[in-house]
Amino acid sequence: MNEGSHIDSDRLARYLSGEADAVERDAVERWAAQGPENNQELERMRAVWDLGGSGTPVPDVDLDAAWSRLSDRIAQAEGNGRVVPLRRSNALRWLAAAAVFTGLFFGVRYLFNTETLELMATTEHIRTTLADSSSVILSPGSRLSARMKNDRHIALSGEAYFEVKRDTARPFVVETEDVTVTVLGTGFEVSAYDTSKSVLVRVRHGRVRVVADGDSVVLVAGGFARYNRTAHILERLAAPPVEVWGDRIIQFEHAPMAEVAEQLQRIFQVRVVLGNTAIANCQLTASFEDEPIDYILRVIADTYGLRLTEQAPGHYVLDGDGC
Amino acid sequence: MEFAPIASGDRTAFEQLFRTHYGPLCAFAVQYVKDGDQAEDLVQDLFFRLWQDRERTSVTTSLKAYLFTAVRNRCLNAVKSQGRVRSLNEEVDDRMEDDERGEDEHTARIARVQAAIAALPAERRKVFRLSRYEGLKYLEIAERLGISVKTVENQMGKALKTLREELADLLPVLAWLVWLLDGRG
Repeated sequence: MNEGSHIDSDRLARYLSGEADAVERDAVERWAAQGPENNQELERMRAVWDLGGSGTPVPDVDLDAAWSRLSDRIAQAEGNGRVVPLRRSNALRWLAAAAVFTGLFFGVRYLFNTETLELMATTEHIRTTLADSSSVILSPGSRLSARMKNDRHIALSGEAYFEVKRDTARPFVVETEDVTVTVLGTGFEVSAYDTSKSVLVRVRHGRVRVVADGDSVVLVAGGFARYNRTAHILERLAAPPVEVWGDRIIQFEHAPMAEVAEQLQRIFQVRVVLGNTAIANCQLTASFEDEPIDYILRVIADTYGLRLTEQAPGHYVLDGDGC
Repeated sequence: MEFAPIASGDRTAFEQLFRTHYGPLCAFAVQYVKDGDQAEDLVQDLFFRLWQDRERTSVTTSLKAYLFTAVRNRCLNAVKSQGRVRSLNEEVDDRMEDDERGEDEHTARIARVQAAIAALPAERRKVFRLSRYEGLKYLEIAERLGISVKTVENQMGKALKTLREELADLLPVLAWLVWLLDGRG
C-alpha cells in the first residue's frame, strides 16, 4: 500500500462509492490523517463525488438525431436566402427599380413600400433612419435601396455613412456592384461611385467584413480598405489623418494644420488662412460631430493658444506662435 | 479546436465541434432550466446561431469556454424570463436566501460537474452513473455492462481523476462547501 503523498484514485473511488471494506476504509482514513495535503486531496475527491450526484438528472441525448435536427434547420435557413452571397444581379435589380423614379423631383426623392426603402440624393446629403433604427447619411450623387425584413440588406451606388444598430439575429449587409460589406453593429462608410475606379470602405467604430471578388478583409475601428475595380484587388490601407463621416462628423488624428484647414474649407465652403508656417505644422487630434465651423475653429484656437479672427463672412484667420 | 476553419465555413469541423460538446452542454443547461427538452432547445439555438454568425464571431478564449459561457447566458436569460427562483438543495437555499449570486454559483458548480461527467467516454460515464446515481456495487455494475470488476474499478478511478482535474479551479471552494454541508448536516 502506497503511504506516500499520493494515493491512487482507484482506491479513493472505492472508498467514496462505498465499495471499500473496513480494512480499506481505515487505510484511506489513516492516509488522510497523515497531513493536511492528504486530507485536502480526500476532501477534494469527496466534493467532486458529492456534486457528481447532485442536481437535475441528465437525460440521455441522441447525438445523431440532434445533429439531424440542426442540419435541417441550417439547410432551411440557407435555402430561404438568409445567407446571401454577393450577386451582382440582385444589387442592380434594386438600383434599376430606383432609377425608374428619376426625373421627377430635385434634391430628395424616396419611395416607401411595405418592404423596400429607396433613397436618392442629388445635391445635398440626406440623413435618414432605417426601420431597424440604424441611421444613414447618403452623400450627393448617390442612391440607396434598403430591405429590412428578414435580414438587413442595402444596395448602394455612390457613398453613404452608416451607424448600424446592433442586431445579432440579422446581419446588416451593404452591397455595391463589386463589394459587399457585412456588419454587426458599427459606424462605417462605403464609397462606391459608378464613375470611380475604387470602392472605399472606412470603419469609424465596430467591426465589418468586406468581401470583393472572393477576397475578404476584416476592418475594425480606424480601418480602411480599398477595392480597385480595374485591377480587381482588395487591399487594406492606413487610415488618413483627417476622416470625415457623412457631412459633419470629422475626426483628426495627428493631422497637420495645413491639412485640417484644407478639409474645413472644403466641408464648410469657407476660407481658413493660417498666419504662418509654424501653425501649419501643428498637429491636431480631435473629433467633431455636427458642430458649426466657428465652434471648431475656436476649439482649435484654444488648443494651441492661437488668435481667431473672422476678417469677412466665411473668411477666417488663425494667428499666433505655433505650438 | 480552432474557430478559424468553422468561420471559413468548414461544415465538418462544425459537426465535430457539435458532437464533442453537445452532450456536455445539455447536461450543463439542464441544471439551470430543469427540463431536458428545453435544455436541448437552448443548445440547438446556440449552435444554429454560431453557424449563421460564424463570419462575424470573434472567439478569443478557447472554443469550449466560449460555448459554455454562451449557453450559461442563454440559460440565465431563460430562467429569468420564466421567473423561476428555485434552488437545487434546500439546505443551500436557506443559507443563501439573501445571496442570489451564491445560489447561482452553486448551480454553476453543479452544472460544470455534470458537464464534465457527460464528457467522459461512454463506458466510463455509464460506470460512474451506475455507481453514483443508482448506488450499484462494482460487481453489479460489472454484470450489468458485461465487463470485469477490475475494469469497473479502473473506470471509476479514472472518472474521479478526470473530474477532479476538470474542476481543479473550483476545488478550494468545493472543499469549503463540503465542510460547511458536513457541519450543517
